[in-house]
Amino acid sequence: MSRVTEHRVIYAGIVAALIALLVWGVASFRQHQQSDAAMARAQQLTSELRAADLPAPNQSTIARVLGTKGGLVCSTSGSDAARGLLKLSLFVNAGSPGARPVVVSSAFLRGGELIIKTYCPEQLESYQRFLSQLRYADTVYIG
Amino acid sequence: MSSSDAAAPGGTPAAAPSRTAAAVKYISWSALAFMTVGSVASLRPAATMATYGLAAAFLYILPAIVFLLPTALVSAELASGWSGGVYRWVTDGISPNAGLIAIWGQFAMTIFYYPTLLSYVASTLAYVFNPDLAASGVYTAAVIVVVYWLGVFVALRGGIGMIARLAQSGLIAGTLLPAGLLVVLGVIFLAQGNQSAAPMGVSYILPPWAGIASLVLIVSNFMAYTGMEMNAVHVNELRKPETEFPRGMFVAIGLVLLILVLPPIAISWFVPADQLSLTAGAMQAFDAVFAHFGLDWLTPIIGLCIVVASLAGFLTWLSGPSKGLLLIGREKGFLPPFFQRTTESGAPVNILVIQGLVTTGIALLFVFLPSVSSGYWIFSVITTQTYLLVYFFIFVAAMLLRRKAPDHKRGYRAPILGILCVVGFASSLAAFLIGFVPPSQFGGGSPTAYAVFILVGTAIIGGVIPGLLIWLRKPSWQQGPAAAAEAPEPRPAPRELAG
Repeated sequence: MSRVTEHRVIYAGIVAALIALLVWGVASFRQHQQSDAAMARAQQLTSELRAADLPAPNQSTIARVLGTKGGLVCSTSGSDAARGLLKLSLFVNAGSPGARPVVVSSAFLRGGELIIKTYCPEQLESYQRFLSQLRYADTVYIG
Repeated sequence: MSSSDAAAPGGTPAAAPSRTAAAVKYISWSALAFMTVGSVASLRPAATMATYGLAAAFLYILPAIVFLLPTALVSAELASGWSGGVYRWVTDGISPNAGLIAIWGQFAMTIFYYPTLLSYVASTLAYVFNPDLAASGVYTAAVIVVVYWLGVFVALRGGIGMIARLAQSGLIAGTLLPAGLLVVLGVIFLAQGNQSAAPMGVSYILPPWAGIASLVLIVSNFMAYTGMEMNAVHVNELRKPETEFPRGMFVAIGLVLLILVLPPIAISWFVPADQLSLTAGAMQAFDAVFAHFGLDWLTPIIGLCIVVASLAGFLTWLSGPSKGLLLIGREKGFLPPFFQRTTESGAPVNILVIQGLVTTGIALLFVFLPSVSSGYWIFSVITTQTYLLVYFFIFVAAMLLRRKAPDHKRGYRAPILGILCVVGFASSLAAFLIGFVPPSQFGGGSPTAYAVFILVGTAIIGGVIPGLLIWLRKPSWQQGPAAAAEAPEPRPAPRELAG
């Protein structure tokens, strides 16, 4: 196979893989429906946020993003690798080559804690233990 | 090219004589600019930076003045006069040993960066296809390993021309379009009369002062712009490197600033800081934005766009530092012949394969060993500390080259170079020193123990390993600089490959 042909095959392979992923992604992505159950959970989370003196997005947005099970927050909150990734996300400019860890605000993680309390309370104790091992400082403005 | 250029210290001029039109595979300056932007800026940090609200702009603009500008302008001058990138600048300005330490620092950083980046790709894909996958170690490890080796395959078989094209497409589709969409939706959100979730008054431009923690936050973000110099290693592939590299650098500065500053502010209008759940990262923030407008179907598309941008950035990092290491290894005999082997397109095959094996091992440990998962962040700190050494060397080398070779032909001469170097060096030093302050992850441990751990780690990775390479160096391992610096791909005729 000539070099030019090989490059064309690689380009075609990359484009085909991306198109396949796109079609599969759009077909399989399930946005949570604004069911009564999801709206009830969203109402519960809003109350928790207000009780903690934290701002909340509108309930329909919460219901769509977190559904009835808490979405990715609850799916990953018990995994060691996900906890490791969470520590990596407590970086300024997280995810880029120049990311550096900082002393974050506790408010940074309180929303996640309340999501877990509302949607997957069985994981709350372990998550709170994780939070208690971190240092905090008030480096953000809340609401 | 005058003979005096060739006679300048170490003087491999930017446009080397062996660059024959028939042999060199060119990339355009815009492609190089996009590669630079893709390797520095993305939407990945947008969600975490959104938690700082309006202060995110300050957290990016101050570092842009004291670190980005010096780095970009000094790199532009050096790349417009010397080929080969960081290793060449530092070798000619200071010494070959310093050149090796500098390029090693850049290379070492990537070893711990790739698993982080690719695990981000894994969690984004999981968000799109099945959120439950994100909790699976096997899934995350599989994505890291498979994507890494596919990247190596593309780098080895495609060469820099293909990487430039993919980087350009990846940046446009994966970063510029989603970032633009996010900002437009943000403006519509405010125009509809909605209140911003983050306070936007003038008094919120600066982050709240919390003592040393605020200093850590501000100074640490100097590193947001690390990597601006990395693609200078490809300067030889430009048609007119002396003018095109600076041009590309200026375009890159503008795009990097736009990509980093605007999206976090737009996200902070929609989602309160406490709701930007960090485990879900940018995807949850995007999801919330689209959910507000009922455009939920856009979430998987944007998710895949972000994955594409991440992979494009990954490819540029894969091709940059490894090539620099190859060049100095060959030219000065720091690497055994085994590591000097290249593909037909000049990609350092054995360096990439060995790096791949190390990355695979690290990724597996990260995913399957809880103690490694928990402590992985600290290795990332150590390697970014090592990476800062690169900037010390660059700024010192730039000043020394102005003195040693004042008449060496440079396509671009940075204004007030001395001040730029002093400011850039001081910023790098501040970022290095602040790296010894324990962050949140260290909890209530001893600050001294933390500082000692980071210092020892930095000394081992940034000093002992390159020290061993210097000590074991053999003259018989040297190969001609021209062959190493060019590594052209044979082509029947020159053709613009990208941009």
